[in-house]
Amino acid sequence: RANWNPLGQKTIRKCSLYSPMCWNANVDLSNLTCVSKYGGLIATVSSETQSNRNGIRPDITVFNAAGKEISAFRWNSGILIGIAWTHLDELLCLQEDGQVLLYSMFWHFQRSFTMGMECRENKVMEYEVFSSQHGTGLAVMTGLYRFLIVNNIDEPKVRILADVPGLRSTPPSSWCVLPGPRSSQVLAANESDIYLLDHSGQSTQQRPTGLNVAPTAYIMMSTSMDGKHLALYADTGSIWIGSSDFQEKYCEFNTNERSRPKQLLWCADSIYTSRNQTIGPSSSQNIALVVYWPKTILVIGPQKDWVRYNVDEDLNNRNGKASTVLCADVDGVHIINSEQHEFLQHVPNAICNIFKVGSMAPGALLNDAAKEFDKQSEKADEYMRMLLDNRQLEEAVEQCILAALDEFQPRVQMTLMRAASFGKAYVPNLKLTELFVNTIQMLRVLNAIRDFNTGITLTAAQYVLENLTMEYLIDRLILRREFKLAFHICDYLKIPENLGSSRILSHWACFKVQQKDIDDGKIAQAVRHKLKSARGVSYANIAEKAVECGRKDLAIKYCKEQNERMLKDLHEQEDNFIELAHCHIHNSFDTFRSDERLISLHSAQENFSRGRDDFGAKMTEEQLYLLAEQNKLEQELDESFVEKSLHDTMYNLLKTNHIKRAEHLRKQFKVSDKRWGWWVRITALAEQGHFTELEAFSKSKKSPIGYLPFVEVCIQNNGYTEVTKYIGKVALDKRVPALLKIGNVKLAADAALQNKNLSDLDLVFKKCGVEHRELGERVRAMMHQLTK
Amino acid sequence: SAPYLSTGCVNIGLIREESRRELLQLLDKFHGSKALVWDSALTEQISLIAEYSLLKERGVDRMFPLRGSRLPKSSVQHVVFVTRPVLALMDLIAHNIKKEEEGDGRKEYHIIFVPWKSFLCIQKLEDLGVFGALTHMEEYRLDLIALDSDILSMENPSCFYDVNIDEDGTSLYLVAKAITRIQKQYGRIPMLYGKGKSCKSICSLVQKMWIEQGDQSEDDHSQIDRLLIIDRTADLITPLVTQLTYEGLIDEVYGISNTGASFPPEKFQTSSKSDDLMTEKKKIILTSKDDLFAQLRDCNFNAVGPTLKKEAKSISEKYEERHSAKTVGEMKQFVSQMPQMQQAKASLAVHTNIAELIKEYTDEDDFMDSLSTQQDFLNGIGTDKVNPYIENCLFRKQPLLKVLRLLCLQCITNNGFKPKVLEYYKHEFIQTYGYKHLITLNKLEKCGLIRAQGGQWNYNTVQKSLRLLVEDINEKEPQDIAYVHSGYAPLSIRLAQILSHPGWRSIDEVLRIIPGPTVSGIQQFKPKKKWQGSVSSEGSSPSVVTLVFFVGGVTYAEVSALRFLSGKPDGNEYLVATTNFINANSLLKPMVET
Repeated sequence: RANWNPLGQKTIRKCSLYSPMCWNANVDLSNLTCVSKYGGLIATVSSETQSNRNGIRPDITVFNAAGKEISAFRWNSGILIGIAWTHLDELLCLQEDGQVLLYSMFWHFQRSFTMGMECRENKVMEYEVFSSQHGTGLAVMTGLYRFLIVNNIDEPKVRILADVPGLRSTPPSSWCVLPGPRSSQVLAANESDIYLLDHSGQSTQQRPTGLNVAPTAYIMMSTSMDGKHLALYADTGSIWIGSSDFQEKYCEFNTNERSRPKQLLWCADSIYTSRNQTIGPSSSQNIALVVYWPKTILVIGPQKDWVRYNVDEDLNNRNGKASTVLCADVDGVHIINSEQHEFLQHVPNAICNIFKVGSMAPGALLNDAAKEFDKQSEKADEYMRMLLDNRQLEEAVEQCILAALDEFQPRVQMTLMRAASFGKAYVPNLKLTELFVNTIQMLRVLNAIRDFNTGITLTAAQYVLENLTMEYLIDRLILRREFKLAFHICDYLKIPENLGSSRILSHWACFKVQQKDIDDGKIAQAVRHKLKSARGVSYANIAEKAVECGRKDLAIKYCKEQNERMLKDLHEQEDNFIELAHCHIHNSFDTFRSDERLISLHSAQENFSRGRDDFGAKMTEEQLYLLAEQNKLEQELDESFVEKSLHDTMYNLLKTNHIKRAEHLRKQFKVSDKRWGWWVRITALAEQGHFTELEAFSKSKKSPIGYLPFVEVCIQNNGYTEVTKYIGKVALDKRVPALLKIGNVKLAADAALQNKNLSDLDLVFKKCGVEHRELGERVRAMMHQLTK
Repeated sequence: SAPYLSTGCVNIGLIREESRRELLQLLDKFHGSKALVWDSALTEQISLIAEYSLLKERGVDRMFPLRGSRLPKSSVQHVVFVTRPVLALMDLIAHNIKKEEEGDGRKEYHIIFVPWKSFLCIQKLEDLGVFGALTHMEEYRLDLIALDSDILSMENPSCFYDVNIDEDGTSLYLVAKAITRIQKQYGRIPMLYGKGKSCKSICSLVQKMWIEQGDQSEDDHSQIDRLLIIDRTADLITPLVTQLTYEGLIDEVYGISNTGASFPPEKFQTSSKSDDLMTEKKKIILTSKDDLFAQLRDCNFNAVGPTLKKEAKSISEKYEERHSAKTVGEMKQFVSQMPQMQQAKASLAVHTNIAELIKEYTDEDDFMDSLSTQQDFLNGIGTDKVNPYIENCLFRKQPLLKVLRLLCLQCITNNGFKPKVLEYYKHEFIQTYGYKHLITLNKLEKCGLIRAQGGQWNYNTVQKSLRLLVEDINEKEPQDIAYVHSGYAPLSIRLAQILSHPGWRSIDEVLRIIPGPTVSGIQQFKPKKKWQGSVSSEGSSPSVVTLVFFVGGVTYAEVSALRFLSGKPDGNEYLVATTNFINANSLLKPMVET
């Protein structure tokens, strides 16, 4: 195993996760850079930060673990002095004035809090972000060398820690946070004196046990992630490595390197036998200290064993600064430079057992057996016999499965799983089968999310150690907007819709509606389609999100499916006046109470005016007016008028002989002469059979619409004999059709022959038929003559 | 089965078979005897796919319509509700299940959603407390229904409204899905064209879906050479103009849905049972399965009479043959033809009746007046002023849809109204029909059917360049597609015609004036040119097949016009796919406030 190095009883390895990286080769990690746990999100701040005071705003770029850019944005608040990822993959940005701003990885502002007045006045000099049981914590040192700590940034309660005794004008020579179960403390060194500071104002001096050489100062210190182990780096180049209560010394290691390391951190082993049965890395045997200077990484075991790695520093990098970033994870250390992303870890036991040279562990034997079997060698049988005789086959299968789970390379995973499957055939054990199936699922998921496109470097150990669940993983993917992958994973794992696919879809929908640069219609289309089949998706959520982002049109669409009231509220909120007016119009027709109706109409009118729809406003005014008239009429006449149009109202009045009242309306609403004279007046008359009045009306004034309508209303109301009264007044060109309408072919023919109009003649000819053959002949002759 | 579906240039029957197979697969999931409870809107659609006898073979013992009342008693094992994803129907289903459970609770309940399972419906069922009682909830993706040998329809009547008024593009996604289905069945279509609002996004969706479904080889012999997507908004004139073909007029007067139309029963009364009055409407299925209808459907109505006469003559001649039959063999042959002759006779009677009904309608003055007003507008006569006929209609409170149709047509042929004219019309409209129609007018404005002047659309230019007005139409032996409207050639179909020959490049300018984006040829892949090398046996080259997909609806007259083009011997064949069938009434009706 080429990348394996023994470290005392342990073996460590440095695996390359991504090489080369997706980013552009001149990416600069030497400024502020942070890497997240359980996934390896990377954020960098461009080195212009120094000129920040002059108003230059640094660029912040977020990459996935493979260096693929997720987002980039420009910092536009105060002076940025630090960034870190929280346990929820939010980017914590610390300003010099103690203001803390939290952003999503896509640069959506989440929330902010401040570390207090003291920070504003005296500035933040140094900071440390740590993980505690409560989540993510933050400690800062102010210009007065005082420490302030927030145990959990989700409940940002700032606690002031005790002052470091004996400090004068120089800052503490080094300090670090000591995360504790309830509250965290700070260890700070004033030269060679180390104090433990807590928030009750207590400071206790601590003395490392068994110190060989007393240093003049401790220039760097670091606690392990679980707060149990401590490393103190002295200016002599020697490191005291021991328990964080200073009671136990594991070893003292002299590096002979007096310069302050760039980074000092812990690499923890993760030991677990099978799922849910974990033994944390609490024992001193399971940890190693990692020290990084430019060009060198030194790994020191608790028994003074060490391994040294050379680091290729970025040549482009000016002034030989360290260009690599290390970040401790729960089961190893991420090492990232512009070229690659590596992972330093203790070789997991399961893998060690199988691949260690000369290992006789059951898993190793099974792996060999499977290999020989593939070669069709009889040795396979020998190995299997050994395992069967010692009743170790089940253990062997389990070891192979667990080893596969810890392996990064799919090729090796496959070999191991194949060996496990080979062995499993001999041991019918349901539990093993279950483990086997679960592991395969798990591996598929892990491999999928480790793909450079997604770039989440989650290890099986991280998954198991932190009791992560699939939901958590899905959440991570959602946060990264890897909706498709998340969806497929849910689908693959058959996670119930309400926990899986539907949840993803609703997140996806919320994300979609937040995209302001895309057309509403398109989004609605996309969202609606996808949600059609999904269960457990709340449209209200989406609508809410849409409003939040100013996508009102979208929200409206959901409300239409949900309820009218919400719809109105929305329009109201969004100043969508015309739509709001329409809602009020609907309301005015839905109610039977005239006061409510009036209120609705007034609101409609108001909204039309606000929306600058003059026509709408004018019509509403008319409607209000009409309504008033109708109400009056209803009281006077005991007849229903409300909801009728003006036309129908007048018509009804005329039919019941309330001519005066109709006239009144006509004047009030400036009804055109044509409308009044035409349908309303004469139709009403004809329909009641008041043909005498009709005739009188026709003579009262010259008709603005001609006299054909009189003919028509007479015909419609069976007043055939009346027609002759008007036919003489009908315009010549309309007389023939009028006569045909009353079925007087003879007169029509006469008129047509007189007019010598071809189309009239044609009309007459068609009507002549057998009955009027003679007439027909005459007409035809005339047509013939005319066409010549 | 339906052999008449398989007679076209592409075997449409395959789509039906596929849908049929899927339906049966769904039914087979419920092992044992079943009762189907139907959303009545689906019965007709599904009956186009599977007949009752087939369902019976699959254990369907009973069929009930979905109602609010209790289900009739039955001893089936499964009760399967077949429904559209409509919330109101969920109430009925829940009610049914609850009532049924009160009786014996040994039945299993299932729902088949057509054409998609909606989340909201399921949520509603959950709220109603019957979710737990349901064993299966399936989805029957009936995205295309074969209506005839050259017509596929999604039978989705709300497409135009959804897209243009509600701005809900779900239908467009479904269109892309339908196209993908067609491509799966008949091979990937090499060239994509389109005109109008949605065509671009549909094209890109179609391409995306093809990629997503993966591993489809491209050189599959594609039976369809090109796809032309026509978004209704690119041609709003055509549906507003009265259709004058036989089938078009039946649709205008009686309305055709799922290939069937209902007629007043009096006309079809058989004299023998005159005392037994028929009260239910007479429903007649109109497809090319009926030979006579196949002949008549595309005719201009003026040519229907002569065709019917000819048919009558030929039938009676055939009957006369019995006198000339002398030998036993000849008699036998005559007798063997009897069933067909009787069928032909019955069909003749039916269509004679229908034609008479239609004739009565077209002879009415209002019809003639409306038609001549339309002709005036199409000819650009008096479009800029308030039209006296429309005014009269308003004053006489004629049917609202009739007025709107003319109003919209005048508006579009005048490239929008002058502000004064527009306001006058709107005001008078509201005075006649009432204040709530302020909303109706607003919707019409939203989709561009009514608007003020402005914009690049210019009817006159389009009309001239595309030769939309054709004089001297021979309605009996038409020479141009304009016969379907007796002088007006549907703009949409002109576009299809020009695409085939000489190509859209010749009308670049006009395409720019017509609303919406243009897709003037996306090559999906290079087809093996089937007309090169392999000359078919007759020595003529195989025809080029164009699938015209109407998004937002197609009229029957447009289909007839395309059939007319297919019938020309220039080697072009057309298939029609559409979201639904429309006419002016069904286009405008959803926008009218009720």
